[in-house]
Amino acid sequence: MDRNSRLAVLLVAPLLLLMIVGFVLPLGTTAFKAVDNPEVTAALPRTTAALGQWSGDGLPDEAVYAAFVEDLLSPQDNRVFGGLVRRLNFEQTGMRSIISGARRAAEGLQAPYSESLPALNAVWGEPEVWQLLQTHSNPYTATYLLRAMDLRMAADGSIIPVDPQQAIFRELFLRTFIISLWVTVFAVLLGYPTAWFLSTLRGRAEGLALLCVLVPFWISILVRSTAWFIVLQREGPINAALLATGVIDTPQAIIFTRPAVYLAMVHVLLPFQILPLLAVMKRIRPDYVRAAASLGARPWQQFLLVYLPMTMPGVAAGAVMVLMLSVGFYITPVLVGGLRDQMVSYYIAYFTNTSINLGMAAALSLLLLILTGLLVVAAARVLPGLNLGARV
Amino acid sequence: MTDAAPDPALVRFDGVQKSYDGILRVVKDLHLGIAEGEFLTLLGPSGSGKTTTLMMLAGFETPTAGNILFARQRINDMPTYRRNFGMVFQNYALFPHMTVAENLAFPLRMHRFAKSEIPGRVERALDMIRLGAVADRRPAQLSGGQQQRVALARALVFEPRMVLMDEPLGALDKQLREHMQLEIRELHERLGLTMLYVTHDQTEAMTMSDRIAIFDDGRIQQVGPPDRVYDHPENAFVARFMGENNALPARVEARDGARLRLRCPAGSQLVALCCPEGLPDGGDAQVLVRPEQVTLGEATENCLRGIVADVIYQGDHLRVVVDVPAIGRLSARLPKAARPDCPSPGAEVAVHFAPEAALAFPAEDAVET
Amino acid sequence: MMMAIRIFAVLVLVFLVSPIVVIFPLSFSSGEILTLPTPGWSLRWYEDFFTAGRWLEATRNSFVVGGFTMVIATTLGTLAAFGLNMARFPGKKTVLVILSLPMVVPVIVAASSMYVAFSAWGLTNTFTGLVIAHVIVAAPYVVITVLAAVQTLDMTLVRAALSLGATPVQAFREVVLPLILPGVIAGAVFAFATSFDELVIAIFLTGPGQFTLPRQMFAGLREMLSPTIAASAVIMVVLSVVLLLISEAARNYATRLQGGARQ
Ligand SMILES: Nc1ncnc2c1ncn2[C@@H]1O[C@H](COP(=O)(O)OP(=O)(O)O)[C@@H](O)[C@H]1O
Ligand SMILES: [Mg+2]
Repeated sequence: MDRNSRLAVLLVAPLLLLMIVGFVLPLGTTAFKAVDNPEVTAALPRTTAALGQWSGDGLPDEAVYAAFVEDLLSPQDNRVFGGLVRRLNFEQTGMRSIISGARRAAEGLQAPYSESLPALNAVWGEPEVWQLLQTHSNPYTATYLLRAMDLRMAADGSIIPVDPQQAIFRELFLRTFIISLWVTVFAVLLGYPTAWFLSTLRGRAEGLALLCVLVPFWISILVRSTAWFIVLQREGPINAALLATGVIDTPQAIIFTRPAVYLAMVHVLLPFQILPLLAVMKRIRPDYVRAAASLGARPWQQFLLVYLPMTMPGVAAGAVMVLMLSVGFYITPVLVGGLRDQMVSYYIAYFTNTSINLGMAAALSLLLLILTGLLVVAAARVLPGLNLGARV
Repeated sequence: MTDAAPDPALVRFDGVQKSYDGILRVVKDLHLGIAEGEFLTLLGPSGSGKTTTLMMLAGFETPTAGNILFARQRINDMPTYRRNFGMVFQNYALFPHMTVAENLAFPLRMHRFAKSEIPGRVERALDMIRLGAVADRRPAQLSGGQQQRVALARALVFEPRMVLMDEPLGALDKQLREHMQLEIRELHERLGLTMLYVTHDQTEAMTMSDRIAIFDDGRIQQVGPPDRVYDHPENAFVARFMGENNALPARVEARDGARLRLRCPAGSQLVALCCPEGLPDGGDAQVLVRPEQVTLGEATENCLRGIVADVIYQGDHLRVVVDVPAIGRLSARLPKAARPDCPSPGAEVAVHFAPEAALAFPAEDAVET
Repeated sequence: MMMAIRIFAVLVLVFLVSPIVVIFPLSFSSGEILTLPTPGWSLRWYEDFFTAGRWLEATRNSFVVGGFTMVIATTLGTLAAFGLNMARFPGKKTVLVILSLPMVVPVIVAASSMYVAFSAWGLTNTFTGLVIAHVIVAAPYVVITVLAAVQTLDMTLVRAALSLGATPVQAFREVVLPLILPGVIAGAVFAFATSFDELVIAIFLTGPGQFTLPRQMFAGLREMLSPTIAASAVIMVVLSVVLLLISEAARNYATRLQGGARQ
């Protein structure tokens, strides 16, 4: 490396370091958490060691039972035990009370435990619960990723669909994708004529019209979503206006519906479609369309054969941006949508903050990341030199 | 430089070579001296290495081999800001965030002229280029010609030891360019500065220079005063690059002192001067004749017959294009006064030129017309 | 036909601004319910904003976090932009990919991941953690803006300065810096706006003690819809417009200079 390159590296290094430690590393942790499986081993170290020798047929021998009781009796951090309970309950509903019951009663149990434990709860006398513990003594698990696709691993190791009432994630991803797709379609349909109109303006009118796009663009997503939240209220201005004009006679539920989500999301994302399109349109000199006209093209032919193909890069650049952003949308659906209008982001936040199931949050994050990555890669294929420098 | 006498040249390129990539040599073994007070022009086609040469003298590039001397001091590694050469760039490189006056004051500040002295010098420089009225404007608010004059004044205002210009008039239209050529020449005469000028326009080089160095392919092909390189080109490249030529294919038959006798493919005989590098007997040659040396009418020597293909009125002169069988097209440049007697297209004519006006070169060069 | 398209486009423009415009009169309503027409006009909700401790506190927090983010992101981003512009070096492509990651990774994924990692490092519920996270999302935009400015910088201007006797340091200070300053300012404004508007990361990384203005608004929206929220939205709109104007002024100044350098 020559002197210039060394200096260049030195200048880039501070930001790069921050990015790697503060961003790449956390993302890597998330990817890891999607398959990480520490809970059972952490809470039941002796049991997992003893289960290592078990073939999995029939019932484990007394040594395993003894190790299990010893693990239950050993003084433990409640957080670690709580993790175990949550983890097993996530795998199989009902495990919470089974494990907690065993722990409460452990003090009074007499050897041989292979008899006293089943006496306490018949579950301990069946192989399934031990198989479950054995499966999750493995440090890695596919459970979260499978669950994020509404699948689970059966006791025999085959992959099967989860119970219908638990199957929500395929629908969630589908919903996320469909909402995003429609928002993109609306953005293109509304954005194209608007960008064209802006490109024909000059001087003061142009400045004013551009401001109508730039001001919303610069106002935060929260403030714009809040504006819709206020406007769409049952007592809000829209219902008031409709009532006053006699169009309706009782206030309508607009907020917390799918149309409200579309309305607000299209509003928030429309500038991302208009601005790149406008940039492309302004670079097209009128000579091309004039040339087409002089060569005998009718107005619709001039548009379809000349103008539209030349503006396609702008359409595509904007659409990719809108699609990419809407797939990860969070605030707007949370504020103006109902529970059935929430997208993947909502569940990532839910699993991170509310139900504290970081494995599930990580698995959903990973899938969302992959979905976004595929969109970006596909876009980069179609559009070399795509500028992703827009605000989120 | 082994002689005892001191080198009279202010600048000397001594065996200078330059390669950007370590493989291709863009400047090959350059030897050139520039005398104090001289106006020297580097002339050559685009890509011939002129800018590279200038950049090495300015200190933006270092030679790969050889030395650059200024006043007998080696300056290969001297940083630009200590060389004290004024420089005019093709796009002027006026600082867009400074006014005209601030642009002119910049070199004075950098060279630590006394604060009290600067406004007076700036004012005089503005007067010199007759732009006092726009002192407080930004470069973006000036016309191209005005910007050019400011760039020139900026390169002169700090009394540099010499001035370097790289196609400084390239962005101007023809009339303004011709006007500025005269203005720069006048400035040179008045200030007596040493100037190194780069251009690819031979008329510009002829108009302004004391001497012209003709570049091609990283080498100097010929150095000399304008009339010398025009009238006595040392090789076919120089002859062709300096002005227009008719090229007649021929073969050397005999020699008669400096004169050669040659025969054209159709059988006509030609008499021409031999080029400095010489030609073997029986060798293929090309005879170069400038259109202004060709006249209509019969003669005993160098007379060719053909059909008039076109007669073009060009304002200050007439151009007659004649198709000569087996030789090709010949162009003659005639004074306007000849118009009434001029034959019309289709007529059969004879043309001729003096043997002293014709130069024979080896034919190989004929490929690059 | 053309006329119909124009009318349609104007309607779209109206659609873009109307919800923003509507909250202005609502914020000056004298009533408790956010509806139009307002029962009367008053400044009571602004008074509430400026006297209720938590709103003021949140505003102050936002300015502090935004200010630190701006300074750090602009410094690091500008240095990196210079480095990226200066030379090729091994791994430059990878560096560019890493620097553009925060722009393509969905915010929620970024926020959730940073939350998990930062809580392990004790950075959640601290201003430091929030500033670091905001610097990470804002700095790539600074790099882009400054890089654009540096790349349009005509390098012959630097050569001209050197030929006129400026040392490299003087050439940087007198020529390079003033010419890229608009880009740096635009980047800084952008970094501040990014931090000031940011909500998702703030939801994950802050406790009530570090609530920023957006975080406070979000909390307010979920508790009860008081018109103070409309007032705070208006205040944020006004601030955004001011930032937009600063950044546009910097851009206009840059294009004016460019026009001069080019012809
Ligand atoms: N900075 C550079 N890096 C690599 N090659 C260069 C550079 N500058 C010029 N060249 C090459 O050197 C040759 C001579 O260029 P130049 O000196 O600019 O010629 P001229 O000014 O006569 O047109 C050209 O082939 C050009 O492509
Ligand atoms: Mg050149």
